[in-house]
Amino acid sequence: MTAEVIKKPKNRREQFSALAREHHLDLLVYARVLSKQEHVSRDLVQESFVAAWNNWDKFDVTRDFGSWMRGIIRNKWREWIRREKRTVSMDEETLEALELEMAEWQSHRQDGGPSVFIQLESCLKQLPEALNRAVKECYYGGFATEEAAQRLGLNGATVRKRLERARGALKQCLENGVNA
Amino acid sequence: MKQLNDDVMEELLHEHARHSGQADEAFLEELERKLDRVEAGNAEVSTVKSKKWKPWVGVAAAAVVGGLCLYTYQQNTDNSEGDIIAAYDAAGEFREREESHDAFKGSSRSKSKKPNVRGEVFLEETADVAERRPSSPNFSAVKVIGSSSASPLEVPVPDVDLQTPSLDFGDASEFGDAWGAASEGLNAKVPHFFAQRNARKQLHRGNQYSALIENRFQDPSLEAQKFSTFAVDVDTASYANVRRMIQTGIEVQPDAVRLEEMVNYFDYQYAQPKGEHPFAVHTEVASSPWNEGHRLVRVGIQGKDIVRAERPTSNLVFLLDVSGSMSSTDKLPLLKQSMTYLLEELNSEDTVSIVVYAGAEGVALEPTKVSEVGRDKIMQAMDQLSSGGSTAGGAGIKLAYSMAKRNFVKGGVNRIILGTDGDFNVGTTGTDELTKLVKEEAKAGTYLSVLGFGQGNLNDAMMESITNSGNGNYYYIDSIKEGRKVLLEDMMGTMVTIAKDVKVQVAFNPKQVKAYRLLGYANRMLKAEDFRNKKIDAGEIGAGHSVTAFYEVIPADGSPYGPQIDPSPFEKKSAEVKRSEAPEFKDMEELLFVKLAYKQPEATVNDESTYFQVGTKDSGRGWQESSEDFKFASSVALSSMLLRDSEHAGGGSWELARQLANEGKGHDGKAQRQEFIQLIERVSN
Repeated sequence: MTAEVIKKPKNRREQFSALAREHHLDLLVYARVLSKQEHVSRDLVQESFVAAWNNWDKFDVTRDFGSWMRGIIRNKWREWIRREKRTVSMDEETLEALELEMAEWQSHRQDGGPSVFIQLESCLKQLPEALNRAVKECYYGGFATEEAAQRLGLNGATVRKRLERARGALKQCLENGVNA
Repeated sequence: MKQLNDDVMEELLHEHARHSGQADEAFLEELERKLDRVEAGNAEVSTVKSKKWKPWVGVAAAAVVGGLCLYTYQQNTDNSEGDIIAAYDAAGEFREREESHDAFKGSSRSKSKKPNVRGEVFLEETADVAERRPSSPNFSAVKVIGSSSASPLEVPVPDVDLQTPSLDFGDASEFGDAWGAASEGLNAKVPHFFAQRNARKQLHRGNQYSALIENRFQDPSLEAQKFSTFAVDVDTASYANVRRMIQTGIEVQPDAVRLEEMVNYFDYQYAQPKGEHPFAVHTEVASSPWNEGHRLVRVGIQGKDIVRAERPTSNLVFLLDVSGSMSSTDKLPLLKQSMTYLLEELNSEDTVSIVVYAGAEGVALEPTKVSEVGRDKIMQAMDQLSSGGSTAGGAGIKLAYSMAKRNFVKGGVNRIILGTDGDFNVGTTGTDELTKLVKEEAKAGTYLSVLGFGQGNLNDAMMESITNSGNGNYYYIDSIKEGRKVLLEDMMGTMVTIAKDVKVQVAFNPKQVKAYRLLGYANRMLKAEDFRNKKIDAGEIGAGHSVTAFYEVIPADGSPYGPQIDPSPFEKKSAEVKRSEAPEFKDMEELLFVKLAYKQPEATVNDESTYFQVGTKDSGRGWQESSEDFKFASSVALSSMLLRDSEHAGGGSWELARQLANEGKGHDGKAQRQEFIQLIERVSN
C-alpha cells in the first residue's frame, strides 16, 4: 500500500475565495428572496459554497460561477423546503425570471460595470426626499414601520406606501442603469 | 430587460443596509473556517489498493472529524450543473452518486452519529457540518439544555402529503420508533406543522427565531419511551415577545411561540415546600379541554421562597448596548427606567458596574456599592448613557466578565446582565464562541442574563441560547410594566438560585396510559440516562419561582399505541408472541410519578445530585371541576398551540381558550391574566 498526502493547491483555494468574495452578497440576496429568512439564507449560501468547494475540481472556470452557485443554492433551498415541510412560494416561471435578473446583474459587472450595490447607492441619491427618508428609517435605521412613522410624523400606512413607491423607483433606476 | 420584482428590491435594500454593499466579512470569515476544516479533513493519508490502481482523491474517514459525506440531489428540471454528490467511504474509495430526497426516507440514523446543531443526524455533508457551525452569529437552530446529543424529534421528508394528522416525525433515534399516521383521538385535518408564515412585507423580518419541533405522543410501555425527561426553564421572553406582536398587529411567527415560556410567564398558587427539599411538586389531573377523551396533567414545581433580607450579596455588571438603534423609547430609555426598579432592591452590600459597547467598549461605571451615595452615582451614570455609533465589535463582554471577576463574591450572586436590542457583536464572533465563553464563565460562577428590547432585529434564538449556557435567564421587555416585573420581581428571584441542574423525569403507568405528550419544552428534552448523569447541565430555579409543565395523556384501552405493523415473513416470532413477551407492569394506582434531580447552588459538576419522587393518582374529574390555575394555564397552552397552528390543538378553539381564561382568571392582582384575555380577544377577532 502506498501512502500519499493529498492536498488541494493553495492557489485554487485563493481563486475560490476570491470568487466567494465577489459573489457572496448577490448570492445572499438571492437566497433571501427564496427563503425569506435571513439566517436560513446565510446557511444556504454557506452550505452551497462548501458544496461547491468540495466539487471544485468539476467546475469549468470559464463558465459562470454565479449561475453555478445559484443552481446549488436552489437545490439546497428545495431540500430545506422539504425538510421543513414548507410550502414552495415560488413557481418555476418566477424562479426563471429571478435567475434572469441575477444573471443580468452579473453580466453587467463582468462587462466592467459597477456592482448592483454601487448602482443602488446612486439610485438612492436620486430618490425624492420623502421616499428617501422613509427608506432610511426603515431599512437603514432598523426601525419598524410604526416607529418610523412616529419619527417621521406620519401614519404607518403612509410609510408603507412610500416604501412601496421607493422600491418601485429604485427598480426602475436600476433597470435603466443596468441597461445603460 | 426583465423587471426586478418587489421581493428582490426588498432583499437588496436589506443587504445593502447591513454592510453598505461592502463585503460581509463575518460571513466570509465563517466560510473560510469551514473551508479550512474541509481542507484539513481532505489532507489525510490515503491508501491505494494496489500499485496499479490509479488513486482517486480518497479520504480516510478517521482522525479529523469522522466520515465525510457530501450530498445533494439533482432536480429533474435542473441541469447537471447542480451539485454533485461525492461520497467518501472509510476505505478511501471515491464514489460519486446522485441521491434523491428518497434517501432521507427511512434513512438509517445510527445513534452513534452525532447530531448537528439542529439535532438532525441524517445530514452528513462535511466534517464541519456534522459538527455544524452556524453560518453567522445570528443562526441558532434548536438548542438544547443538557446533553449535547439530546435532540428533539426529527422531521421526516415524506414524498407525499399526509392525509391524516401525522404523528410521524420520522425516526426519532433518541426517543424511540417513528409512529405512522395513526390519528388516535385527534381530529382529522391536514397537518401543517410549520405553516409558512412569511413575514412578507412586514418589516420585522430581522427578528430571528430558531425552528421549534413539537413533542409527539410517546408509548410508556416501550423501553425507549418509558420516561419523559427534561430540564426546567424559567425564561419568559416568548410571552412578552408574542404579546408585543399581537398588540402591534403583527402576525405572530409560530417559532416565536414557546409554549412552556408562555405558560410559565404567569404566577400560580402552588404551596411552598415543607420538607427537606427546596421544591414542592404539585400535580393536577383533569380531562383535556381540547380533546375530551384525553387527560391533561399539570405538573408544578414550586421553589422555596427566601426572605429578601437573607438574600446573598450581589455583584452585578450591566453590559449595555448603546448603539444607535438603542435610542428609541422602547429601548435604552426603557432599560434605564427598568434598572431603577432593580436598584431599589439592592443595598450597600451589593456592587453594580456598568460596561457599554457601541463601536468601542468602555466602562461607564466602575464597581460601585449601592449605598445612598452610590445609588445616586449609579443613576447618574445611567442618565449619562446615550446611544450612538454602530454595534460594532469590541471586547465588551470580556470586559464585563473581568469586572465581575474583580469583585467576585464567593457564595454570592455574580452576574452579567446584558441589555440589547439585537445581535451581540460584542467581541466574540459567532454564537459558538460566545456560548463557549459564557459557559466557561458560568462554571466559574459568573452567570449571564439577557434583557431584550425592541423589535426588528431581535435575535431571540441567540439570546435564549447563551442564557441557557450562561445559567441565566432571558427576558424580553417591551414596557415599563414589564421592566418592573422583570427587574423588580423576577430577576431578584432568579438571581438567588436555590438549586441548579434541575431535571424532571416523569414515568407514566403503562396500564393506565396508552400514550403521553409533553406540551412544549421541545428544545429542553434530555435523554433518559441524562437524568442520572451528574455532568449534564440543566436549568436553574430561583427563589420563589415555579415551573409548570403540561402532559396530554391518551388513556389505555387495551390496544398498543401506534400503527399496527405485520411482522415480516422472515421473523421467527409473531406479533402476538412479541406482545406477550413485552415487560409486565405492576398494578399500581398512580397514573404517574414525577422524579426530580437537583444540585445545591454551590455544587460542582462532579457533585452528586439529590433525587426525590412524587406519585399522582387520577381522580377522573373533568376540566370543568379543575382549579382556576389549571383552567387558566391550559388556556395559555391551548392559545400557544393555536398560534402555532399545531395539530395537537385538537378540537380547541379561541372561544374555548377565552372561556378557560375567563373561568381561570381568579383574583389576578397584577392584572396579568386580564391582559392575556385581552390578547385572546384581539388575536381571535
